[in-house]
Amino acid sequence: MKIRVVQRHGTALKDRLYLPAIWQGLKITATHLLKNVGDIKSVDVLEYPEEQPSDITNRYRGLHRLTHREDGSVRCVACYMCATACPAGCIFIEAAERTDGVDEKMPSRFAIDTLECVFCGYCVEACPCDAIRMDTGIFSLIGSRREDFVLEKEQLLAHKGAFDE
Amino acid sequence: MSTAALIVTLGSVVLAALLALMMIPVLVWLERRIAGLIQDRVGPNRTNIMGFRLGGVIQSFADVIKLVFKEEYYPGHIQTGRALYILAPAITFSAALLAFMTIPFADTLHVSGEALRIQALPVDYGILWYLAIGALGIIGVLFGGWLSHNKYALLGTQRAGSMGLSYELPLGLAVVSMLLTYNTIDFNAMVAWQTQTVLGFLPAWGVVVQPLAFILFSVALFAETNRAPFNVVEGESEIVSGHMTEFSAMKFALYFMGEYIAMNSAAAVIITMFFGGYQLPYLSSAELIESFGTFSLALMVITPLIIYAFIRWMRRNNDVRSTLSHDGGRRFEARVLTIVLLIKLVVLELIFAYFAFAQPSALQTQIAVAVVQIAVFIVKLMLFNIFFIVVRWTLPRFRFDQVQRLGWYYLLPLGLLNIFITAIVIVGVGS
Amino acid sequence: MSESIIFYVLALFLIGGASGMITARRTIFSAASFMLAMIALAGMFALLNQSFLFLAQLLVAVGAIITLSMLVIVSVNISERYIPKEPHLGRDLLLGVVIAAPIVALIITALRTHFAASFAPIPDTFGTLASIGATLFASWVLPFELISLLLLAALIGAVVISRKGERS
Repeated sequence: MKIRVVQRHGTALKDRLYLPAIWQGLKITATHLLKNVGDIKSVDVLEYPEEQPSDITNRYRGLHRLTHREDGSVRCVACYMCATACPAGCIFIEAAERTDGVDEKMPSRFAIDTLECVFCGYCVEACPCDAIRMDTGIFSLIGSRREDFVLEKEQLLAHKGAFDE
Repeated sequence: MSTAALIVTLGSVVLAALLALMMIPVLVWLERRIAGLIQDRVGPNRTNIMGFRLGGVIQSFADVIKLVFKEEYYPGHIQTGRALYILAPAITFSAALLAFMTIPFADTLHVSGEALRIQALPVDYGILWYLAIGALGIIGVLFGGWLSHNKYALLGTQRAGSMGLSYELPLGLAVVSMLLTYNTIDFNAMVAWQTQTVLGFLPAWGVVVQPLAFILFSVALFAETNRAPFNVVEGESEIVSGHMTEFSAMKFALYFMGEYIAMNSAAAVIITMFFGGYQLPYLSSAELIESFGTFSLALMVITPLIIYAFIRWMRRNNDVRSTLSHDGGRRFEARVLTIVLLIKLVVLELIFAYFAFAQPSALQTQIAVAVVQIAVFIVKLMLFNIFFIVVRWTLPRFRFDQVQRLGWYYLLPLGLLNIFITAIVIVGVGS
Repeated sequence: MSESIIFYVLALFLIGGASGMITARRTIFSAASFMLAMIALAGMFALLNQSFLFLAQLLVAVGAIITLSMLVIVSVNISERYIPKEPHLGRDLLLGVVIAAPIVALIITALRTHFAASFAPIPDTFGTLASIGATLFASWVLPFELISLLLLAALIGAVVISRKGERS
């Protein structure tokens, strides 16, 4: 049977005194403080809203948008897959007969309640037609009433993708 | 009362009230700004009055206005003792404010035969007053927390009461050893004692003569004022806000302000007892009055350098990154502040020139020395407040049993040991 | 004149606090009245020029005794139904006043006649810490040491009582 002796930390006098450790911690914080006070520009901080974030990639899940086909018609066929997959239950779809003859169904009402949305991206994964995407890169939605945060079909169709396909 | 006594007393009261109350927005601002700069971010820097940010101090005033105008809400589940529930924060606030009132800001003025103390309460038992009234502050916490009828408040109150009580003992013992060294309970006499030199070149400050008492006193004061790392009372992540949970608006503001005033008076007492108070390191008051002409000359030379360095630092730092086009009025503010500082510099130079070259009367010299000592006191006070704040943002919080263990097992025996050693040294040196 | 006014106000707080302490139904109001009475008593010491007793009263009575009582109240946390009901409180207190009145009258008369002699003017150092310390260590050393022995006995007793629960 092999015996392994484990060194216990914190039993030396220097550790139990606690003051040397406090002194080392104070040195670190004091260096940071003096460096940043001496030159405020050494603080790596984003001056929002004058500077916008520069690290929005094409994987970033921003606000949703509904996509169009090449001929300009709405891709969405109101199959309810996204509404079913949504864990927050924030997608409200009402189907209607398609008028431009491309497919059978299209949504007459497609609403997303962004106050309930958790921006998980399950709707994008569930959609079989690549109709809903979250690549607008919009991270800030402002409104003054609760109703402003429910995005209707027209608003969702109007959002543009921020990246190339 | 003669006019001189009346003016000095009123002036001291106004100065003490200003220092205690006006320091609160400054301390809140310092706390948030230093916290930001330590954590590699900037603190509050957006609130402004017509473009003047002043580094973010305006944010503290905005906080005060918010607290004043918030809705006064009395929770419905507090049925008994509503009057005492409303009175409790006032007790803490008044105790903290009163405890600050015996700190001397400058040496005693001797005007036409009278000895006029520059203290808001011109009494000679300063340190005992501070201990007694400081103990009153815990009462407000206990009453408020118990009458809040809330589990979290109960936990916070228990912790606050037992912690405050446990650390009064090492505090008192450290004070006793200092009383043995200084042989007086008067703050002014303590400061006068510290103008001597030890080993020929070190100033006989309390921290040099009694380092162990300094450590005990500081740690005990950190615990008494519930400052980190001893802020287990207002755990914030554990027990919401402890005893302050059920208080809103002005009642919470009174607790909040009482905490900052207590921190301020703790810093003031530490510098009075251990760091020479209002004195410059090697000059006693009498020496300063005699040599005030040369001192003025030296100030005439040094002040422009300091203000020039400050203006350069301000212009460089009150600016945004060069990639941004919009600076939010920062350059305008830097320019206005430069002009204001230059005007102040000219006025100060005139005053220093008067004292260096013209022959001022003894009374004027005394008053000028008192003003210099008040300025030194304020500088030391700000340095110590910054020390309190930097320690808060360096150390993690202690657990409650660790706090009690430290107070009873380690600090109490160390305090007694310190008294024995001090007594032996005093008797040995004296004989 | 102003001293009399201050004395009457302090006496009002003292008597009010003391009677509040014995008549209050809840322990917390009893503790609050006790605190009021102790602060008024400290004020009376200050009125008599006793600076050290004033500070010692605040430190000990308010800062230690009331804090400890409040700590006990907060920790023990007795619920309403275990507090004994006192149905005839007013009648019992009145009876107590009637019984104690002759004894109090006797004490007041005794003090009045004993201290009716001339009062010498007090020295400047009356009541300061230095004079009390000097008197204590010069003429009253033996009682001082005996009191410290008493405190030691109390400390040991507290430790023994608090350990007894652990063993059993």
